[in-house]
Amino acid sequence: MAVIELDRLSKWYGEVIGLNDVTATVDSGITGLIGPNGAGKSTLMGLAMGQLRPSTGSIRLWGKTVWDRPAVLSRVGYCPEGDVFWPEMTGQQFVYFLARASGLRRRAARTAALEAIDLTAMREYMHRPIGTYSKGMRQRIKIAQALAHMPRLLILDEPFTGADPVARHDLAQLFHVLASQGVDILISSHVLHEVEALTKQILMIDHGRIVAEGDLREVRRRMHDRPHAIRVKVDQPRVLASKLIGLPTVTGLKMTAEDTLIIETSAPEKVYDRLPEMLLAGDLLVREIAAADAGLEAVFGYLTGRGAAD
Amino acid sequence: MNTAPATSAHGYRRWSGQLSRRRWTWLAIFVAGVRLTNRATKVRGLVWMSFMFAVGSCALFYMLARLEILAGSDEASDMYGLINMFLHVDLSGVKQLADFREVLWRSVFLFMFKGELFWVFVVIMRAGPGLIADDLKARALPIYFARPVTPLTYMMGKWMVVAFFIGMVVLVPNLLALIFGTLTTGGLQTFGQTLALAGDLLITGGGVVVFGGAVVLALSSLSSDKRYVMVGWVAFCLLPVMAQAVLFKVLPDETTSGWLGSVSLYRDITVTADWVFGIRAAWESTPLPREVFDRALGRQSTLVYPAVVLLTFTIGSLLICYCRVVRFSRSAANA
Repeated sequence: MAVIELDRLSKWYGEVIGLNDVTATVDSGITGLIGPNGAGKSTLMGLAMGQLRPSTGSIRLWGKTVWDRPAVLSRVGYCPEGDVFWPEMTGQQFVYFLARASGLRRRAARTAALEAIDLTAMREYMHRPIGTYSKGMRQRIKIAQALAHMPRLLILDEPFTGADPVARHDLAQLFHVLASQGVDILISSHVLHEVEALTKQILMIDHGRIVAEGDLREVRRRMHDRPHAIRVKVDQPRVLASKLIGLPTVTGLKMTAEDTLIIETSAPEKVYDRLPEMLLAGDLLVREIAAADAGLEAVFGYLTGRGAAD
Repeated sequence: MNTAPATSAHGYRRWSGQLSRRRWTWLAIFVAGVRLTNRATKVRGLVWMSFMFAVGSCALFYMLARLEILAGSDEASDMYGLINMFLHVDLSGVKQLADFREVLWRSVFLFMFKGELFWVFVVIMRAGPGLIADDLKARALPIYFARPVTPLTYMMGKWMVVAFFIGMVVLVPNLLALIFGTLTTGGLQTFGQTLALAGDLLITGGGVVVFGGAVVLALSSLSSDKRYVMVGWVAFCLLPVMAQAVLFKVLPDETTSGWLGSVSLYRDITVTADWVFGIRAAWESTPLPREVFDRALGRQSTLVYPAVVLLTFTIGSLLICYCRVVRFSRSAANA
């Protein structure tokens, strides 16, 4: 069963469209929710949390309507983007209180809060008031509160914001561990490479519409109108270019550096098939062969008409 | 019922036990709210100081108990003066004071209650304004409503926080004083005489808790800055009292017995408390001459107008607060 199902879902704020007739599903595992500011990511998350009422259509978690049925939320952990703290509370009190508000009994809430704090590596700081936390620590304690009631689904709005590189790495590891334990995660981020490192499963949104859904590689493969780019770092790029120019599937060649050739092609598999033979024939020394535009950033740029996420 | 989480090899334990029913989530909000509010030294100090009312009541009970023994003696004359000063009753000519114990105790509690009302005003001013306003300021609503918390349970939790502090001022000291007075004055006989007082204390204290809590919650839901809420609360309480004082000064008594007499909320509460305690009927049913207790009765008022005013404000405040919280819960994602 799909974790989240959107069925012709729309949300209007007066005359402003937040989401426009969206039909999509979010399956198990980690799903990246990608889109520029104002694309409708927060609206989608708000609808998934039952905090916004759909204007038309429906949104279901595990097949159950979430609007006006807060019981479903006991299985969902939510980490909002902004700060949501009472500065006088200590980290432990904050997580414990929210575990209790999720319905855990006292003893279970205490244990669960400590576990969530451990998972986010905040035990050392848990007795300090949140007002004294750094931005990264606040981010981690916010994730701890989302984990405190041990949910099945985590909805994380920009969870990497403010975290230092080490904390980002640790959080990414944590999300991988959680996913391996059967926790489904919907994560929004504008740091595309971080989402890409977490998952290939994406939901790309722009102007309130889903512009791409599913496996990133599959999405890229289906973009027939966009030639694929292959970057080859080789000692004699001109020689390689002369060999490639006769291939019918090659639509363009660019030398971007002394040792770098970008091959534009409508059928990358065929180019990959022929490349080893050409390199051997020319006795060329290769340092790298890589897809230059199969990444999330490039796909995002193609689909939204932007160079990168803003 | 399994309440233990299932352990996994990697440390994350997905919950497999039973959760509390969601109508109990207010309890978590209440406990967290009380802890957070109680951290403020000023609030703690105010609550502790409210026990001076219990001490005051106990002192008066002690004096009355002594007068029961010393009635008519020279030693009692100073105490008559003090009782007259506080309760506005002249007991100097009254023998067998024990027969009037219940009505005297009612007068003591009413006297204390009127003083406690000012304290309630101050405690609410410190403990109430931030209840919802701080959540709005911290933009904490998305994490409340991302849980099985409904607008009603959220409101209930918040209201219980302010109710706790009001109760600590207006209920606990009075009940403690009642227990003290009962134990030190005649034992079981006194218990029988004054049992009904416990119910009256609960009703008046509960009324103040409901009214004060509802009004301050409504005000707190209107702004994310608790300073404005505080100013609103002060204006809400003091302006009508000032207006009433002017009206009573310039208008003849007859014209202020209706709506015009119900402008001051303080007066509305005290008139209602007079009615709950049945103070007028209790004194008038005694065989004592009217001049003994006449000053204790004060200006006669009908209950209807004050009761209507208080009910209207309570229901109106609860409605405002509920509508605001529902609105927040349905737009928390955009908060």
